[in-house]
Amino acid sequence: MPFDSGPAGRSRHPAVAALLLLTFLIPSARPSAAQHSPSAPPVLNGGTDQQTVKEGYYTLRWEHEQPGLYFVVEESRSPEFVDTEVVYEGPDLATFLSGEPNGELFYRVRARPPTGGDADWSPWSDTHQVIVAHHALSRAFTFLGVGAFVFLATVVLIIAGGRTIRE
Amino acid sequence: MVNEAILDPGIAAILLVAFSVLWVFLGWWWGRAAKDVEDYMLAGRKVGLALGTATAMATWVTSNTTMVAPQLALQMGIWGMVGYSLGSVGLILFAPMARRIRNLMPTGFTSGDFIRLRYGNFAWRVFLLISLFYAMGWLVSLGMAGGILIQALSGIEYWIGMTVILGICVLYTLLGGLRAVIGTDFIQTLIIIIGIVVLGFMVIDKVGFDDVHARLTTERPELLNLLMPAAIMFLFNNLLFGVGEIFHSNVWWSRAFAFRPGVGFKAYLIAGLFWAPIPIAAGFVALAAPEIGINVPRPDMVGPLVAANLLGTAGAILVFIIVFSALASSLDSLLAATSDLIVEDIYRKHLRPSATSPMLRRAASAVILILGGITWILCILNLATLASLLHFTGAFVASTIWPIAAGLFWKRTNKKGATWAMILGTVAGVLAYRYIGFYVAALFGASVSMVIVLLTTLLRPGTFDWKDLKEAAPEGLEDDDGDPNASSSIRTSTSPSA
Repeated sequence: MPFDSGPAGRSRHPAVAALLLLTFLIPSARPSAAQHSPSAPPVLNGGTDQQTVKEGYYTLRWEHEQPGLYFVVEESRSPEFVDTEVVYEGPDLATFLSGEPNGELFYRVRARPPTGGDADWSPWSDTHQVIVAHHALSRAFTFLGVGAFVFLATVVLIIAGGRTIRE
Repeated sequence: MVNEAILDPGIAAILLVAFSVLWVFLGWWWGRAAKDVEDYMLAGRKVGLALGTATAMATWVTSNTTMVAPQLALQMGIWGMVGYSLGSVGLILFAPMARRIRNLMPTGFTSGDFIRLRYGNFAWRVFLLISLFYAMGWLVSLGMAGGILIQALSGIEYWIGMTVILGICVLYTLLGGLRAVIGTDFIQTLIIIIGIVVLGFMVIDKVGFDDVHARLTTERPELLNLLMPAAIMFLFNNLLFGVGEIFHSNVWWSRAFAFRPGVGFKAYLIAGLFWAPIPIAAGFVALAAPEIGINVPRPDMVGPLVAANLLGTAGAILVFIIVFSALASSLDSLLAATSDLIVEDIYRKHLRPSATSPMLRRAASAVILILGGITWILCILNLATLASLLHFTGAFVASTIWPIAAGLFWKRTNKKGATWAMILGTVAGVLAYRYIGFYVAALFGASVSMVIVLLTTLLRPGTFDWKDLKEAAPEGLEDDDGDPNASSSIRTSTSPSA
């Protein structure tokens, strides 16, 4: 094997190489969790108010100037957040949602230190609205038909072409 | 974006080192068995059915298959994973073409050779642009997949994992020849198939179909909707994208040249049939995400995240090994085949027609390193999700389907028609990508290209003599017996090739 060709102790030795790589790969300790309650709200999706999606999927991203916080993201069908559902809670900074039917959804996020209580929550972020409006089925079937035609034509070209050549 | 990690970074690092050493060792071990240039580059053009099938399948099972298939299942539901599995159609349709290519061009080296001889220099250059753009897109998606995988499982930063995996694959490619590529592909195929089957059964055992179905029905109903519009539009788009990738790429043409006569048809057919279920098995894993309640920060991380969260350390290790195998099997082939294309079609044909064998050898090594460097820079930028990046290249490659297929079987398809089909097909695909979505880019590219080829062939039929494709080997590139089929200095130079 290539690493065995050199004398022991050289940097090409596999054990040395593996140790160096391990040292390189193991990440340093993460920053310690924030100790004080955040006074400012997180920023949701860069502060944009609204987005329209035609596929039923989208990503929500949030950020906060204070590192190491714990977040909760709420979803509602109304801008007043009358009935809410928690779509994520934890330390991550994004969540991907999919499979949504047509409609309007509203999101907001707030943060607190990981070991904090209810009194430590930041204010809610500005509301972000997602409008799900799928493509029209007529358009989808038109594309499906075009794709099927191109595919079948390609199959015919290859099969018929092969037969003609052999003949 | 992600703060939580499942796999201990130390375990991840050990796995990374262990498999890196294994692939590099195997690449060197099999590469050293090549006694001459014929062995080194094209395995003597005598690759048999078993190894031929394995290398075709392993190369097509990329990290994209194991990571993008779950992503598409999470984005587009049932049709997402079924649509991705239609990528197997490209392999199956290439089967008769591989036989035709081997017969028409017994001394051929690259897909660029075919376009140049069949359609002339202008079409050749357009084709090279498309092919190289695609190759870079595929390389970047592979590099990104490596970084995302490591980050998702262990929390090791994206750029570190990406750099290590890319670096190892470049080294492995530099060391190996075609024997090494095929040998490792065979092992990697076994690992991937067994791993994905085990993973699928473990997920079903832990969660179950009924629970997954019930959760999706309640929380993500569109994923089960067979009339989801974007997913319907995506179906044939993905099929045509796969067909375009395989029809034009030198990865597949070089294998067609390397297989023993009569092997290409069976090898590609069997590989396509065995490949089809893999994206469905991998995609199903993603549909379990809502049921087990994990957070998915970005969709291309869903496969590793579900496996690791559901199955713990064992699942994370299993996914790591599967994806690393898939990455290595594709990266070595792609780096080598792209290097061949650049050295043969650009360096020698455009820049240094009188290049000697040692010059070409140095050029090939340099090209592999440069490709690795450019890929690293683009991966660092982390501009798009894997699926959107990959499908952007679909706008380009789908426009080559009809110029290549018609060029292989129809004498009357002419140069201008083929050239404009590639150009306008690409423009249409890019516009569709920009204004509608990634899931229609290949569909538009292929459709516009087909119409142009058909119209120009009917209205302005040309004539072509198939014998013009049997280009004699360049002077000085025959073997000692003067056999132009044997080898060439290009092959000598392009060290690890597939």
